[in-house]
Amino acid sequence: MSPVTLIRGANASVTNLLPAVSNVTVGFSWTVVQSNGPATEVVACAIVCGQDGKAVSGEHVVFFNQMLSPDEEVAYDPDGSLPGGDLEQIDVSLAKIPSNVMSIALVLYVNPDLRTPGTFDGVRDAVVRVLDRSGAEALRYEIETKDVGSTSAVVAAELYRRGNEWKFRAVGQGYAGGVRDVAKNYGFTL
Amino acid sequence: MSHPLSPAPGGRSTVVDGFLRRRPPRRPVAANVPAATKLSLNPAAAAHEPAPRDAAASYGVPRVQAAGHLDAAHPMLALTRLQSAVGSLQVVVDGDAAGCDVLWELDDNRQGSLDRVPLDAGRRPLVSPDKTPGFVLGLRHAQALRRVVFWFPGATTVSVVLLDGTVVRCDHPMSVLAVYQLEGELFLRYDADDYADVSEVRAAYGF
Repeated sequence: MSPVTLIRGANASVTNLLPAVSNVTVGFSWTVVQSNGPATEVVACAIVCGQDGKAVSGEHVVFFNQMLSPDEEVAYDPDGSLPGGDLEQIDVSLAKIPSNVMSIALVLYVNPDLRTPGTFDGVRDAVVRVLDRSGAEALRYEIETKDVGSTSAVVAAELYRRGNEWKFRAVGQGYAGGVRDVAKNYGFTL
Repeated sequence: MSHPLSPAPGGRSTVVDGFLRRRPPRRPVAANVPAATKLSLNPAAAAHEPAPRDAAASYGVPRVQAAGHLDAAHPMLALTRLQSAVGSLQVVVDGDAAGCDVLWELDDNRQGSLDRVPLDAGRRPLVSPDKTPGFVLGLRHAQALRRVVFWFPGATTVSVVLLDGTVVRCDHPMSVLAVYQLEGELFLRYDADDYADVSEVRAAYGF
């Protein structure tokens, strides 16, 4: 089966593409443009959201320093050991997701260090994709980094519930205020 | 996948290489290595105990809320996992910043001071002087930290500013601010002992 490539705003059914799969891997990859100064440091995270579209709590933001959501349905893979070879990987157990969770936002942000943090101007080839546990790619979205270059956070995509299905939407929404604005939008405190 | 800035092969080490690991250590497999010792004697009950998520609560240390305050009566505060790993921590010194120093220790036991700080994977120093005056501690690789000790021989007040602008005010006469990383959470500790010089701080903190 050839993977489905989405453009911004498009969606596809994960449930239909991977009907027998209860665990999917969300893989993130990107390339940081080399420079002589400090490098842009990109972080991948997943925000588990309730019916209001907001993070269920601050503990539902899964990233390298909070590797497991409270119900263990979303797990950050600390060493990229899942098949696929992505730079960062997040494991989503669709079967474990509680009924109050309606979506999972998949975010890349530039770490807002006070010392020349950079923006997505310094990032190329950013991709988010969905794989099964064997590493076979089902969906991919190549983020238009030129369109979000001046921003420092991007909601790349979301997994969302539609009836009995889980779907994947390519979002590609940049946030000029970076992860602070993402936190404000999704209702959690940094 | 190995990172382009990974340690040099052959075991040669530099001041930077241990800190350059981009990924935190691998999580142990739960089936073989328990994440924590279960407290229940009843195996069925123990199986349902959640893994500890809140190190601050485990140690009875209050969290920084809208603002924080450290003094002799309230010597410790804890940051959340988000506060501990997003952005950077700004330590603002009010008063004479001359003579201030920083001692650091990484998870791999390497130690140093302000004149010998490692670079992280983003090629930023672990901690660097700030123009405010004060210091900036990068948090992207906070999991590789064990502790950072700031010594302020001539400061009147010191403030710690978090990413969202929350200020933790440290009462005079704090001489040392110690920052510990434990289970992904940063703990701030107030110390008002009178150290004559940085060598006394080193001795007191085991550097």
